[in-house]
This record gives sequence, C-alpha cells and structure tokens, in this order.
Amino acid sequence: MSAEEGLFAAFAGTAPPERLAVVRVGVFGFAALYLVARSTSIMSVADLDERRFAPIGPISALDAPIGSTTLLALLIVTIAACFGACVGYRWRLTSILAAVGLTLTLAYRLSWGQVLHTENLLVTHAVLLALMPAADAWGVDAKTGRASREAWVYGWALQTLALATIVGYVLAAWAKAKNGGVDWITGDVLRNHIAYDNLQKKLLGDVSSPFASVAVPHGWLFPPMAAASMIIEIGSVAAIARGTIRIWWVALTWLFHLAILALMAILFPYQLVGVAFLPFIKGEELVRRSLPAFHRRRATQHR
Amino acid sequence: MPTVHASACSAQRRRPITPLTLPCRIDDNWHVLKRELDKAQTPQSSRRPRRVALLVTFAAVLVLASPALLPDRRDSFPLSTFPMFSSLIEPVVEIDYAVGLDRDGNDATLDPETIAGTDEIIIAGSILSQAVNAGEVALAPLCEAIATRISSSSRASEIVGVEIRTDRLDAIAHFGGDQSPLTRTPHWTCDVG
Repeated sequence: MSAEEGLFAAFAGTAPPERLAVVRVGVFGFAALYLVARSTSIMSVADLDERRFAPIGPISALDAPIGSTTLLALLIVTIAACFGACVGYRWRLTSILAAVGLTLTLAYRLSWGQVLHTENLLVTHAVLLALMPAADAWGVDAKTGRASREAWVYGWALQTLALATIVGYVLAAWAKAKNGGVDWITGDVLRNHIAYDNLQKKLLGDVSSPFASVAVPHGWLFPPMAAASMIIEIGSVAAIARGTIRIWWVALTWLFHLAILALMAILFPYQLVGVAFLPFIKGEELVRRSLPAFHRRRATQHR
Repeated sequence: MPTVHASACSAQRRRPITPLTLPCRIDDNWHVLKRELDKAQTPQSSRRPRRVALLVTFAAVLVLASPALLPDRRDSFPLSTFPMFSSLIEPVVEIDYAVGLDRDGNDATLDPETIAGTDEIIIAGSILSQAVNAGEVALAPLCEAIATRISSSSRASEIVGVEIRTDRLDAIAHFGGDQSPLTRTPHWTCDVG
C-alpha cells in the first residue's frame, strides 16, 4: 500500500452501507418535515413587497421574484423529492431533485433581506448526499448495486459529510476571530450580542429568552462562555478522528446549540434534533438497538 | 493476445519497430498495460475510484471554505461568512419598531406577522428600518398596512393606534432593570379602523 493509499484508508476507513442509509433517512426525512413545518413561512415571502427582493446564492440568477404558484410548485416538488430520497426511491433522481429543490427553496426564502445560518448545514449535507451511494441499504430500491461497492466507499462518504460539518464550525470560529479578535472572548461582545438580540425580539414581539434577564446582568459569565464556544468550534477538527473524541465533541456541540436556544431563543433544529451529527456516529447500531423488532425482521429476511 | 517468448524478444527490444520486432513490442506493452488495468480494476487496490472520491472531498472542502479563502466575500446561502454574532457590538443600540396604542395611550407589543406579514423578525425589523430611513413616503403606507392587519385581527377592540418609532437603549442596563430608553424618536402615528 502506497503512502497515498494509506492516508486515504486512514481518512475514509470502512463503514457498512446501513450507516450511510441512516444519514440519508435522517437528512432527507428531516428536510421533508422541516419544509412542511415551514411552508407557511416560505410562502409568506410571496406577499412581500417586490422591492424587498435581495437575491442571494443560487437565487442571484433571478432579476425579479417568482410568482407564488411557481414557489408553491417548487415547494411541493421538493417535499415530494425529499420523501422519495428519504425512503431511497429512485435515489439518483430524487436525491438530486431534493438537494437542488431544498437549496433553491431555502435560498429563496432568505432572499428578502435576511441571511440566517440555521439551515446551511442541512443544505450542505443534502447536496453531498446526492453525490453519494446512500440508498444501497434500507431503501425501496436497496438491492440495486449494493453488492458492487466496497466498505471504504461508505466510510469515505460519511467522513466527507463529517468534514463538511467541521468546516462550517471552523468557519464560524474564523469569523469571530476575524471580526471580533481577542475581544470576542475577553470582552463583552457575546454579552452585548445576547442582550441586543433579546431586546430586539422583545420590542418586535418575537419569542425572547427567559434566561437573558437572569444571565445578562452577570458580565463575568460571558468570557468563559465565549471561550467555550470557540473551543467547541475550533475543536471540531478533532472530530475527524474516529472514536471517543468525536462522541465528546458531538455531545458538547449539541449542548452548545442548547445554550444558544436557552440564551438567545435561536433554534438550530437540524443540530438539536441530532440529525446534523449522524455522520459522526454508528447510526445503524443505534437503530438496531432502539428498534429490536426492526432488527429481527431484517435478520429474518437475510436468512 | 500476443505471447512471444521472453528470450526471443530480449534482442529485439533495442531495435527499431519492424514487422519482425513488432510482436515483441506489443507483448511488452501489453504486459505494462495489463498491469495498469489490473491495478485499476481489482476492487482491493483500485486507485482511480479512491482518487475521484478524494477529489470530491477536496472540492467540497474548498467550496465550503471559499467564504474564508476569497477576499471581500459577501454573506450568502448556503455558503456563509458567518457574520452574525461575530462582529464587535456596543451595548447602546438603536432599534426601530412599531407598537400598538390602546385607548389610554399605553404600548401594546406587535409581532412580526402584524408588522410585516411575515414571521421573520429580521425581515420585520429591516422593513421598519427601511421605512424610517425613507421617511414619510414609506412610513405612511407601512403604518396603514399595520393598522389594517390589526383591524382584521382579534386585537382590533383593544388597539386604537399604531406608532413607528426608534428607541436608543442600553441593552445591558435594560436586562439589569432599567428599561427606559435613553432617547425615543416617534416617526409616524396612524389610527386603527
């Protein structure tokens, strides 16, 4: 084995197709339900003043907003494709449709003067999954092609998804270091952000954090919190290694998002539900353990 | 598939390609080609699929990291520069907002749906700020739109007016108990119903 092959083997490792299938079910299942839950909000942009249209990302190709019928059609097709991709039906077609549709729908909703970061990772995972053989197991068309692939393919796919997650967290840390410098950790930057964000929500009638009024007066709480968030974001790099360290990182990052929800009333649903972290864990073992009846049925089928 | 005895070929290898030496040349090259094909086709040692996989991984990382790598990159979606909560911010801030007014002149908080017809607070806030910056020409229709939404809601009986204003506040002091604004600038008022 050459050095290049050795390095690749160390990076990719091996994994069963079921592990990638769990990520597929999680990501596209979540995307479908998320779009259904957010459909009213997505459709509400159709009623906004056309002058507010500020296209971003792939929507930048448009000069003017699309009609509400087109938006509704896009939403319905995307939801259907996400459900299809989730169950592994005609994977090649549904996964690409779902990934493209999800990117366009969510980018369109954000093309009205607000760019949020709560959906970036969902779209990233969906797009990457569409390039991967994620429907070789536990899917409607699962028998097609499964035997022809080696275990490294699934290992590589999962590691690439994990790496994409890590890049997002490292970028968030980079932005803080670039824009706030050391002051972001040692100063009152985080405290000011939490206070301002909650105050704006309060005045504009949105849900604000009940914990903000408890925490904000105590300035000493915030530098350790800022340092912890930077450590978690930069420390994500360690989660590329398999083993206990990545489980610790996943647990800490989940708590980090819980703290954001508690202090800023900002919900990262993809992360808090846990789907974002599926590439880091042995999801198929979790499914087998939590659904013993499912495991028994599969075992009987394979006999 | 050409097969020529090795010893018969050894003398021919250094000679120019002629009808006599050609079988040996083909034989040599065939073995080289076959070795390469075996490398590429045997699943256990297939290099090409691994290289393609590695290329996909590198490309994905490069694209995702591009907001940090390219100069003056604007925040976008799904590729972000993550500016939210990363910038330096002072505790004293100015916030544009709209309130409902009851019969006694008391404030009644309005939600983003009532203010802007959306559940997104950032859009509602940005619509208000744009109207404040644009002045009467934008404030009047916005105030009327808010009043119309209130009049068709269950709060129509309690809210009689709308005010669009800007408060200058100390966000830290606000959560410490001092909730009065440092300054208040009313921009526009209109009646409901």
